[in-house]
Amino acid sequence: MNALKRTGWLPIGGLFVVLVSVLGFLYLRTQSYDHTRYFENVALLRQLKQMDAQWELDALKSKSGINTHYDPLTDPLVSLEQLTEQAAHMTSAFEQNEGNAKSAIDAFRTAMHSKTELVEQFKSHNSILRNSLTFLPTAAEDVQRQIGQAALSKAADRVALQRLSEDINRLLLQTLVYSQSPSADRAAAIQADLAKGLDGKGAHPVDVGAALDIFASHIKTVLREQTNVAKLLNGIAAVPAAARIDGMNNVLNSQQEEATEEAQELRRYLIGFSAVLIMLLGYAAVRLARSYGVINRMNRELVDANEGLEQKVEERTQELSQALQDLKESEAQLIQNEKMSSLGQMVAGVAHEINTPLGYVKGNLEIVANRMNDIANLEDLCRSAVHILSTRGAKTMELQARLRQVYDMAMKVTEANMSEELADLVNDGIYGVKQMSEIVVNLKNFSRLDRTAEVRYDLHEGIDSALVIAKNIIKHKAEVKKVYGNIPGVMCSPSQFNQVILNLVNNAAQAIEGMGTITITTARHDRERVRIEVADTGCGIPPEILPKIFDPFFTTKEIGQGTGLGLSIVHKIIESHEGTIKAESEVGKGTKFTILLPIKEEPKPSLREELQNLEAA
Amino acid sequence: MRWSMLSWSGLVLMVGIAPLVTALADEPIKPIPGSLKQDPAKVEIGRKLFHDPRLSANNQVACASCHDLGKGGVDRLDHSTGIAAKPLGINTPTVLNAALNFKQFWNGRADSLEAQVDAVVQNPMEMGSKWEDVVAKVSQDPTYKQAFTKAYKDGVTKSNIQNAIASFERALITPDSRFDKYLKGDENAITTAEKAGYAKFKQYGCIACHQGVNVGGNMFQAFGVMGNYFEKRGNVTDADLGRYNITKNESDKHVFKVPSLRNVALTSPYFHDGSAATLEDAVEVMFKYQLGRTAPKEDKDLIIKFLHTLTGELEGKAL
Repeated sequence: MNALKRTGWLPIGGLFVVLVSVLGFLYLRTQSYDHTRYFENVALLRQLKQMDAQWELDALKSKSGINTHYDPLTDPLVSLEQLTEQAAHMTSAFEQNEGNAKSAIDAFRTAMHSKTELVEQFKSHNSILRNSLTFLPTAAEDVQRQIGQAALSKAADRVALQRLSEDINRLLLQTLVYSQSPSADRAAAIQADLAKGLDGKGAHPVDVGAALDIFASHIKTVLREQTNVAKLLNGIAAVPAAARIDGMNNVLNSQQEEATEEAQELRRYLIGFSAVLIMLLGYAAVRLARSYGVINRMNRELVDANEGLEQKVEERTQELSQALQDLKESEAQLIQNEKMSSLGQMVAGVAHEINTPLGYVKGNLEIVANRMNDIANLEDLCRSAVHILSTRGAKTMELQARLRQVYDMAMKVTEANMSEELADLVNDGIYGVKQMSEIVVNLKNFSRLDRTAEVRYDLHEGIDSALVIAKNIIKHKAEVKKVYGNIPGVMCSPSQFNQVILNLVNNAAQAIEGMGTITITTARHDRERVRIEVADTGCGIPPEILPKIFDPFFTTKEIGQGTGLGLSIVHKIIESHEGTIKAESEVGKGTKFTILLPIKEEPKPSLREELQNLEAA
Repeated sequence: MRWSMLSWSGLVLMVGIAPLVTALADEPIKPIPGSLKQDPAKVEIGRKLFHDPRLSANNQVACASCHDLGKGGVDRLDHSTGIAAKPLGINTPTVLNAALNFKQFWNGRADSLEAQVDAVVQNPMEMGSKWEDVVAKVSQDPTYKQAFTKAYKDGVTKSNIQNAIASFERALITPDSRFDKYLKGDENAITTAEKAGYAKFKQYGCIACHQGVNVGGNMFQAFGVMGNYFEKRGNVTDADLGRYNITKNESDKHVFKVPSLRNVALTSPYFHDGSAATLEDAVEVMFKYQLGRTAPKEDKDLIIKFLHTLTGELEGKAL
């Protein structure tokens, strides 16, 4: 049953584990995509984009001269590199789109690499451009100064110098205008003017020529570097860094969309699964409620039964104690009955015992009464003789006759030895009465419903007493041999002990056919016990019934002959005295009962007290 | 009157670009930070390593052999010698304030000081070591081992050695130059002549490249913008190709990192080829090939005076 129950739990436990696992799996799946990371990444990309835009702006500022140094263009390099690395790290966020993400990041890296290169070149070229542009007015001034000095010389071709001065001014203006708003036309015009101005170079004084060279080279530098810088700035603007960042963002977004979709799908699964779980829970709850009802009902029944049981136990206890009481009473009754039964058997014998002394006491008394007539006559004669003597004038004759009568009477009494005879008769009568009184005393001992406490008791006295009671039964069947050892007084209930001996002796006498011997032996068995043996030379007990002889109501006698309680009561009495009794028997040879009784130092509670104690417990 | 007309037109032109000029309200050179905040434990390991010749294959060349901190972070040779005892291909740049450079080496091939250490230690001409040997040598030194274990989770490793040296180098910032004090508002930190020199420095266009916090070191520039320096000098070497060696772009030929001018008075000889023995020589070359202009000697002298104000203090001591 238990094993069946246990195996019944296994599938339920398994189902539970599976359900929890599915729930855990679904939950983990919904958690597996980190939305925070998406937003962090989006923020990162925005930062990157902003930095990139700022970088471009700084390039333009450097171009226009608003930035006086290149640190703003240089410092972002490290940050950009770090942010790019962080962006590359995002790859780990893309499980499904790893390829897309990687290519997006690679594209961004390539873009940033070329942009960095372009920015570096821009810095180099822009610094040259800025240098030449800044220097150009000074260079023009240098030329003009040289022209002015040359114009002081007498040999100077003032017209040519004047034209050159104008050319220089125009060139400067054109170049500066060009630097502000470059165009191919302006560049071509400057180139043309430059060529024209250089045409006349050989014609100018040496100092003017040298200054002109410097001026011209810086104009050329401006033209060249302006183109370069413009090209580089266009290139920088053309680098699709922002687009690449957007590309990464797109990958992130599509990843996020996919994740959201998946999350929604998972949510649907979760909802479905939760519904299943709720149904299962509901079913379990119903089952539980039902089980609870059953348990409740059973519990109530159990409580009721419990209360009934208590009542029953009480009733039964009462019945039992009543029964115990009855039993004790009937036991005492039984013991008494048995005793009375034994007594009944002996009454005839006892009556006979009494009858004998009674007979001769009666005879003696009749003789005494007979003799008392002669004494009464003598008394009368003596009294009349005394009366005559005291009377004056009495006749001597009469007196003499009376005296002769007194004398005759006295002689008669004396001759019959009457006084001795009377004394003997009386003594005999007293003896007979004594005998009867002894028998009566013993009988009284037995007849008493004995529940006295244990006393120290001379067992020999008890045995003797029992033998007197049983005398009538045994005197025609057996000779009683008493082998008394030296034993101390034993703590026991004397009447019960007497009953045991009487019972055993009675049984022994009944077992003897014809004339046999009953031997009663007493001895000190050991330090604490005395031994009493009652052996007979009777028919013996067959071995098959020997073990049953102490059972209540076991009897070999015919119905009506015995109660069958004798030996069981004997057994009970000995047991209550903490002694033992055993029987040995050989069919045809006889039976010997051996009793061992503890001497006991202290008086023990009686059987009744013990029973009372038992009841109380 | 014509001249005044000319002057007037020049003035108009100046005014035309005036918004650009007035916008330069802030100075193009920025004060140097006091320090770059390094882990002192790592800096101390780096200091030891920096002076330790065991980093080289023959146990004779330390970082400090060429970057003598007592000589402005250089050895003042036009070409240093490494373990090969042969002159190297390029002049040794100073280690001082190198952390503020946007890239390392003349051709900018290293993005970080760690990468710079990595290259120098393995360069067969310079230290010629293998990293496993360096790591082994450092590991055998119980002092190093203990210090590394304290400062780094994984103890002595190649990257930790590089990081320790780089950390030390990042501590080699030279603040409190007189010019920095001037920039921070101490009008009397530099003399009138030096102020004039700074004005000339800006006016002549040096500032176009030598700007920012490190007075250079934040960009590349072609050597010989306004004239062919190498043609004039002759004997062109591979090293003269500069950044081209890295990018192989034609436009990167003779392009170098613009060096920082901080402590420039201490770091002669100058240029990647160590060709300019003095600041006068260097300024001369710059005017000719980079600025493409001439200047009176007095102006150049003023500029050189200004350059002397850029000498700072290293770890609280004047250089």
